[in-house]
Formats: sequence, structure tokens, C-alpha cells
Amino acid sequence: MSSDRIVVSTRGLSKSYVIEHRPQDSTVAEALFRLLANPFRSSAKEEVWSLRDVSLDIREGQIVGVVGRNGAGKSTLLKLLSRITEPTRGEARIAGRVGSLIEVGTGFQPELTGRENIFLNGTILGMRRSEIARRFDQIVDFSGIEKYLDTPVKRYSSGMYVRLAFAVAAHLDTDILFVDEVLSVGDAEFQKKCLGRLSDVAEEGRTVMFVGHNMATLESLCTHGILLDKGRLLHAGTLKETVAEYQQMIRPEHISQETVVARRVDYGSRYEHVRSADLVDESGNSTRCVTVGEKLAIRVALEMPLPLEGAVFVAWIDSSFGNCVLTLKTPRTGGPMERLHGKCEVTCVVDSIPLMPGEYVLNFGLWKGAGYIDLVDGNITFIVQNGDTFGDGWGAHATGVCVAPSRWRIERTVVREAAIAPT
Amino acid sequence: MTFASDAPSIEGPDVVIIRPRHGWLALEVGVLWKFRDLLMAFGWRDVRLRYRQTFLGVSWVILQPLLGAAIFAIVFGRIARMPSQGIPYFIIAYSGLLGWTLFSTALTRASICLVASAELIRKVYFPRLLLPLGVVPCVLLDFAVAGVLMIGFMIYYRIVPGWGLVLFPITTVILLCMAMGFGIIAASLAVRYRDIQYIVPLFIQLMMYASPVGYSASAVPAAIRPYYDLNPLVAPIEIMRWSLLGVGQVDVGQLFYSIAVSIVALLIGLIVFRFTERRFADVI
Repeated sequence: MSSDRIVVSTRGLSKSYVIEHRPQDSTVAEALFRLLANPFRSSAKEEVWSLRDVSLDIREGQIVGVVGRNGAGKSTLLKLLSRITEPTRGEARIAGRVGSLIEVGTGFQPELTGRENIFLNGTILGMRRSEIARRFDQIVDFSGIEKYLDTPVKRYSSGMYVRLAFAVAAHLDTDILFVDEVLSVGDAEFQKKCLGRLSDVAEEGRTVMFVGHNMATLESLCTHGILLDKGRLLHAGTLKETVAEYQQMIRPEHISQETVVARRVDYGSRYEHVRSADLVDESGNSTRCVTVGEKLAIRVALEMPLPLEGAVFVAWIDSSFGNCVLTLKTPRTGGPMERLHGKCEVTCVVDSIPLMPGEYVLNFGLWKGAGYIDLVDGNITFIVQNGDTFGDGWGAHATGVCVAPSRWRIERTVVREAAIAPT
Repeated sequence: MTFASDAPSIEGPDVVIIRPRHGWLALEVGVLWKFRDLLMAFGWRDVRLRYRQTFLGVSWVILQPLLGAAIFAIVFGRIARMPSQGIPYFIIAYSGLLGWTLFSTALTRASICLVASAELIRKVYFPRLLLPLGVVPCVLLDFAVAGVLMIGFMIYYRIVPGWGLVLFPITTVILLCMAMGFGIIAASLAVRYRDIQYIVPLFIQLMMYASPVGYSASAVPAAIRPYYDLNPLVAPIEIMRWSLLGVGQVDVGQLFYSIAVSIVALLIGLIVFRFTERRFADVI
């Protein structure tokens, strides 16, 4: 539902904090004492930029996920746009009514009743009193606490408290909504309800900017994304692109190049046959990054002190959310694993990796008879990066987890009247 | 969404522009008006919290000045034997406390309003000036409750106020403005300097004895009167008592001095507030 109308626009938006290299005077007494003791000394100061030269345009109806590491400036951006703090340089322009949810339940007063807090909190969030009155029944209904409406909220369980708080926030009826991590509260069922509510908001054509760490939430909600790092805007585009970009970025730090394996004894792993494992590129060098539709090679060093017969080598790949998306296996009989003894190296090559860009985890094990005799789980994390999958320079941008090589054929068909006439 | 080019973005009458603010004169009265519902919500919240338990809440509001007046009546009336011009000393003290309590509660509550709402300041946008302003409704309600009691006493003791009663609302406004002025200054400083919240009560305690609260200003020795009169609280408290009881005298020059101080205090308060406001969310 996004239109061409720009509703949020920033130009060179920057925010810096000044850090003094001595403890700040936190009392008048200290400040006076210091002034008397040393009137002319000025302390060394350092300016730290938590947001730097961010220029972007957000159009009406876009649901924008803000992605980045901790301390990348995501919350600062949100706080600047919601006017909680002032920029140091640059400017932002916003067209339309803004609501911002940095936290749910801000300003809740424990002594006041649920009913009173709905009005208080709603007003604090920027709703008019009349608006709250109009939506009061909806809010109560959503929270599911109508029985305790006239009980002071200090007697609420933390779950009820969050429900009520979110219910108020969810009915914030503004054109533009800035949301920061508020979904990380409440039980799973309620979270689902909140997500549903947010998608409704999105479908109503309102503009939302959402800071989140849970990629699954971001992917299910957002259409667009921006990537921040060290206060700078690195990428702005569709959410898919942005997440892929983010996963690229975090690779060197986050993904270890470890090849020595740790095993899962709890799943019945009894033998230490697998000595090391690695992902390698075409020339045999270790890598943790492969491209959609290109070659993926897994190299595993095995050591069998005794001959092993009839084993099956299984490898499977989990998405970063933990669901298995791909399985690779040697045949039960007649394969290269028929009889193993001593030191050997197994290489498994997938000619065209059918995975969408993202972060994945490689797991594998040796299976014999009715169970794993050696199971290695979660040691190797790797990135699938976007490539020119379809040969058109666009890469894989569709939704889903897989992409398959496909052949297309178009035949001219003669459409006969009879074929489409209702019988 | 895109990386933006440097061309100016959106224009229009309802476009909010967020940029570093310089200058401290713009008070954004329009914005305050937009947020009037929130101002009422803050005021109403305090009132609800104070008068929640109807019995305890209201009786506390009544007991405070009553006990204060009783103590003053004993200390100044009985022990020190200060003059009372034929009116029960308790009433002299109570009428002084009426104005004083208005000033001191407004000042105390305004001075802590920012620190007490640190969470809100960090998480939500609204004109920060609403916080000190939101103190006013509750303070005025307390004042009204104490005032009703005063009317009761006046009826009981058959005291009829004269035309001087017209000065009563003027002194009320002066005291409130002065309290808000000092309160806003203290609140702004308290964001950075946490010992302000200990300094303010001390200041209030000292000022109470330096003001004609428990005694009439006419009891102050003439030799120190010029210094005593420097205290801008002297005129409004003394005149408030005079307007009700006819005790003491009205010094017009003193009254204008107090009006001037209250206006200056309020202006300085707003300027200090304006100047420090932009950093509240960062340092609080």
C-alpha cells in the first residue's frame, strides 16, 4: 500500500554526546568545590557520535525495519524522530501525526486503577481524551482484563500489566508509528496477538518504523529495511536486501572459522569419528560465505580406528530461526561410505545451493543402524549471499527459503471457445 | 525507501521539522495548547493520588496546616507572647500558613517534577514544561481545601473581611508565580545536580522563619526590618493575612517589589528551563 508521498525525511541527521574524561559533578557541592579549587581548568572532552549524517526518505505505507548491531544508533534514530531528544546536526521532517512506542506502559501509575491508567497512558502516548473514550471498549477488549478494570494496577500480575499497557499502545491511532522492541514482552500467545495487531496497522496503510532484533518478527512485519552501523546509514532498501546486507556485515565477528567440532553426547553420539569439518570454496580454501545458486562444498575429516561398515553420512542445514531447510545424505548402500577405515576425508559438493540469502547453520552426523553414532550440531554457521541467480542482475528477492534452478518453456496454444465455455 | 538525495524533502503547513534548537525565546505556547489534555492528565493524576483514600487524603491536607498553626500558636503566641491584636493567635498563624503552604508545596513539587518523571522524559515526547505546570492543579486544590477551613474559622470567630479581600487573589498569584519560578529553576538544575533535592527543603525551612508565617511582620524589630523586607515573600504572605483578618499593614512598594521578583523569577525559570531542556533526556 505504499504510495509515493514521502512522510518521513531526514537530511544529515546526527546526534553526538559529549563525554568528559573525568567524573561529571553530580552535585552542586562537587561543582562548587571543583570551581574553587581549580577555577581555570577545563577538562578534556570527547564527542561521541551515536548517529551520523543519516539521510533517508520513508514513503507513506512503508513498514520499515531498522537493523543493526547493538549501539549502531537504532534507538537514537527512533528517539530523534520521536522528539525525545534533540539532534546535534541535520534535520528531520515528518508529515502527519506521530505516535511512538519506545516502551509499553510508560507512565503507568501503580496506585491508579486500570481504567484510570488507560486514560493516563493514552494521553501520555499522545492520544486525545475523546479518542481514548471512543476506543475505550476496544482497548479493554484487546487487553482481556475487563474484570480488573477498577483494581489498582499495582495488584496486577506482570502479564496483566503488559496486556493492558500494550492494549493502550496498540490503539494509538496515528499516521506514523515508531516502535522499539515493545514486542519482547508478554507470553507467546499475547505476542502473537500483538504481531497480528501490528500487521493490521500495516495493512491500514500507515507508516511504521520498527526497531527489532528478532529477524523473524522483522521479516513477517516489514516491507522495507534500513541498516545502521556505528551511527551511519549503510543500506536502505527492501527488508530482504537489508537483512542479507546485515548478515554479511556481522559475518567476520560473529561467525567463527572454527573447524574443530564439538559433539552432542545427549543424542547418543558415542564415537569421535569426525575430527574436523569445514566449508570450502572452489579452490579448497575455508569459507563461511557462499552465493545463492553456486557451489557449496563441505569437507569433513574422519578418523576410524576400527573399520566401519554401512554408515550413512547425513548433513542438514538449519535456518537462523532453527528450522531445517535442507538435507544431504549418502546412500545406505553402494555409496562411498560403504566401508571406512583409518583417516579419510569426505567432501560433499552441492552444485547449486538452493537457499535464499541469509544466515544458516550446518549440522551433520554419522548414522548407523537405528541412530547416530557421531552427531555434530551447530558448529558451523555460514552466510548465503545474494548472487545473480536468474542471470538478470537482480538476484533472489522473492519470499520463501528456497530457490530452485528451473527450465521454462513457452508454447503457443490455440484457445478454443469450447475449452473455456462453462459445461 | 531510499538513501536520500540532498534535495529538500517535504514541505507543507503541517510538517514537523526536527532540528537543533538555538535561542531560548520561543516558548511554543501553541505546542503547549496542543498538549492540554496531557496537562490535565498530569494534574488529575496528582489529585487522584493525593485524594485517593478519601479519608486519609483529605484529612492530611487539613491536618498539615492545622498542626502547623497549633504549634505556631503555642510557640509564638504562648511562649514568645507575640502581639495578635485581639484575634486568636491560632488564626494569625493559620492565615500565614495558608499562603506559605501554597508557596512551599508548589516549590517542592515543582523542584522534583523532572527527576521524578525521568522515565517519562526518556521514553516519551511531550513539551517538558507540562511537568512543572502539571503540579499547579493539585497545589491549588490543596489551597482551596485549606481555604474552606479558613472560611469556617472566620465564621466561627465572627471575623468579617473588608474590601481588602480583593488583594487575596493577587497575593495568591504572586506566591504561585514565585514558587513556580524558583521551582522550575531548581527542577532544571536537579536534572544535573542531584543534591538540589536536599537543598530545596533546607531553603524552604529557612524561608519559613524569615517570612511572616507564624507571626505578623509588625512584630519584627524596626532595626532589622529593612533587611527583613528584602525577602519577597514578606509582602504577599502579610497582605494575604491582612486581606482576611485586617491584621498588619499593606506596603504598596513592598507589594510591587514582590510582583517584580515573581515575574523575574518566572522568566529566569523559563529561560533556564529552555536552555537545559534539550539535554534532559540525555542526562537524566
